[in-house]
Amino acid sequence: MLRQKIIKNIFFLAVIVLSFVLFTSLMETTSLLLGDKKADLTQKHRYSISNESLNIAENLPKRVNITLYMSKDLSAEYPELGIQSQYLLRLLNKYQAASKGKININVKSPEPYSATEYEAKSEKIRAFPDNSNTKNLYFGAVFSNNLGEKYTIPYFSIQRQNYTEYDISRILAKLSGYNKAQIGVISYGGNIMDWQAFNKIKEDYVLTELSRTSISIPKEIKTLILYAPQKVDEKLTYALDQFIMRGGNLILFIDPYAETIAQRYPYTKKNTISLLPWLNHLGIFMDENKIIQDMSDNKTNYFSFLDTQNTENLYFEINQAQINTPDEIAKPHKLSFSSAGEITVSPISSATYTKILTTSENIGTLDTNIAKTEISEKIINNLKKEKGNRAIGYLVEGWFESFYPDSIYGNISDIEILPPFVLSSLKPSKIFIFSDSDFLADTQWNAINYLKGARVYDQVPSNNNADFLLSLVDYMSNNTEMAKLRVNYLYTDDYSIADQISAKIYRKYQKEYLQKDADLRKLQKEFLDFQDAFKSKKNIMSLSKIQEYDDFIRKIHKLNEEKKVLDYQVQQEIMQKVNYVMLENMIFYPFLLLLFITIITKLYLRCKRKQEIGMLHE
Amino acid sequence: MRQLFALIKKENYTFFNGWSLWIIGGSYIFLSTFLNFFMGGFFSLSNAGLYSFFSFQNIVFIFVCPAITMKLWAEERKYGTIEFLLTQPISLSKLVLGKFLSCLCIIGFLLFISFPFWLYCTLNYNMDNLNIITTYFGCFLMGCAFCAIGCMISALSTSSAISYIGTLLALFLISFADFSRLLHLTKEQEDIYIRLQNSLNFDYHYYDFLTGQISLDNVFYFVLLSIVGIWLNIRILEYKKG
Repeated sequence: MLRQKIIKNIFFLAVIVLSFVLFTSLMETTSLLLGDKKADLTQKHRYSISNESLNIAENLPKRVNITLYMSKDLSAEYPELGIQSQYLLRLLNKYQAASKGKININVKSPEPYSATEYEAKSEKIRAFPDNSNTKNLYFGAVFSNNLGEKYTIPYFSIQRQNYTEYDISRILAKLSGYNKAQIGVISYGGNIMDWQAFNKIKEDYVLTELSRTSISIPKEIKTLILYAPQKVDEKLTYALDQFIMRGGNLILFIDPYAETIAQRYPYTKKNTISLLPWLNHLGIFMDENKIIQDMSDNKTNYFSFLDTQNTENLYFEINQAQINTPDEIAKPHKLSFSSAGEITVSPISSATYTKILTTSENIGTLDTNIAKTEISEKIINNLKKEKGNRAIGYLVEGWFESFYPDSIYGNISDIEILPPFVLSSLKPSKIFIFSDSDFLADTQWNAINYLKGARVYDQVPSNNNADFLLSLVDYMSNNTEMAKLRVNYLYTDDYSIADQISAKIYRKYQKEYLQKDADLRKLQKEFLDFQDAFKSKKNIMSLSKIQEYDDFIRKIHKLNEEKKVLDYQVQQEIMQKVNYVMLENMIFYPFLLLLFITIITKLYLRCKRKQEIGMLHE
Repeated sequence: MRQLFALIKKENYTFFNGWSLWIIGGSYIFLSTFLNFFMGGFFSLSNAGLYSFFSFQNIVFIFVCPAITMKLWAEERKYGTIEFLLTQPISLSKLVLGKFLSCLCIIGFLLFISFPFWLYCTLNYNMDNLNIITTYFGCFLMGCAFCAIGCMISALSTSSAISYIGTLLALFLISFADFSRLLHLTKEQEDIYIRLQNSLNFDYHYYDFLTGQISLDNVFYFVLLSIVGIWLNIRILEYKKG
């Protein structure tokens, strides 16, 4: 009896162990049979690796080692980083599968005071403390090839999650050998080299700033970025002309109203773009007295919303439908413009002109001087509504004739040191022209994003703008694999829910903001006139004037206070809305549903019971 | 089939006609939304797929599923009704399947009470609904597997409390346990261990659903786990019966 029981127990245990073994082996077999095939049901296939990235992995010429330094406690300490690590591991596995064995992944967990931790530190992997601040955690990777080339991502931050695939693919492309070209920059907009867009270019290229009075562009420079040219020296125009004749590629930011420059020189009312005749010769035209604004619904809202906050930018965004990049350049998610101009072309037969960036059908035009000098209300009122989309970015490729009839150029004293004069293109060249120079300005976009309530680094539109410039530089430098890479928006392409709530509430108070703003401006102007009258001795100091002066100050102070109160009110309403959202969804709606189900169940059971009693009676 | 429906009806009657509906349903939705708002970053993330809500569903289910399954067999055994049940003209497999399906109805109901939240978000914000539907499907499959394990553990014990704690522990172990540090493994052994752990881990397979991706091996994992759970449940009952 006892023996039978023992045998039965052993058999039962064997069944459990066997089912466990069977389960794991079945799982392994299915994963081997089915592979890593997944149907991505998200909008725009956010979690699928792009074909461009897979191509890079497939065509790797050399073996690449990826060492991922990932602390074991990452998920326990920071759950968000745990989710990010899951995404990263899956992504790396996809690269590995596509590379057919050319990518080797090594995951290391740096324990405190271990050799691995020392190694991670020496590879410049960023250490960050755990929640109790007792030890360091690591979440970075080193990419290297057999030639000793090495690139490090020190930390896979949550804020840069959308860029994970983009960053890895760029590194893999660089490890495959790329053209680390020298890129020239000539700027009329101050110290632009610190801007995000140029910092991005600096990571992958040699960026050289050239003088505005250059008489020739160095021959090592094949791509030149010319930023916001205003009064261009004739010598430089000559140098640019010859650069194009040599087959150089030019990225040009030209603007009827460059806010970045206006901020530096606020009293300059009229900017003349002296480069226009040369551009006209190349078949490119722009009316410097007219700026355009996209008047499509949502954009007008943003514009008005911004306007309430004392920024007088005619700001608009264009989406993917309005971007027509060639196959070699990644289509950005969206691009942002501020007081852009309109580009028109009169094609010359030896070149092709491609409209890359356009506005929507509903546009508004405005005189440049009004945009520069008038207050927001007047800017809005003066917008002339027109139909038909306008070009704000053109790509011109081909052969050109020189702007200069001969090489003898009187104003250049040291003519003998110049390269030989070229009358027409030796090689085809590419020119990309943007009708907005503020497209790249960090200061401009930071202000806009601050007002829009952007908190996440990835949502900063200048990133899209900067990414697009980087893609253009890749394209111009013949790094086509890199130019095709795009940023993958993992969560959504829009704003966070808090941003959406804030925008809705701000819009509600838009009129009040506008009114207060207009009142304040009017009062400030009157006050300035009043002060000027004293300076010009039109007014004489008297007791009534002192009182008037006091009144002005008091009124301005009062209006400022009222604006602060309005701000506070808006903030309070946002907080209230957030609380309501939480309360409604945590308690109100679910419990209402539960109550409804309970009532329905009770009624159903009562009906049934009645039926049963009826049947019993029968 | 009629017997199966009768059994499901009987099991669900006690749930829908009692306080269990309010206690389990209420705590599920409160816990889910609380984690979503206060830990998931619902407002700060641009989570079109309601990532902040669904990323905690595995943890919420670990607490809720044992509560659904704890009394299935344990109470029958405690009150001595199991003998009566086993002598009924219904096969053991149908009996187990009926109890399991009644649990699935409750899981479906729990997911249903989170629909108003989804509806609210869809009406007010930009949502990726296909991603959300995929995640709901993943949640349901995960619920199936959790309930199968819960049913199995409930069949082993005579006390509901032990059954709850046992299921909770088992689910925690399968979801989060990492013994690699205790085992002092070499690099190669660790790779095998991680592979084995990933093939068993709930989280690993749920993550794909969370990110709007459906793969056959993930569906197969949850279905297989449920089948194994039900099969072991039958074996346990047979063992206890014999």
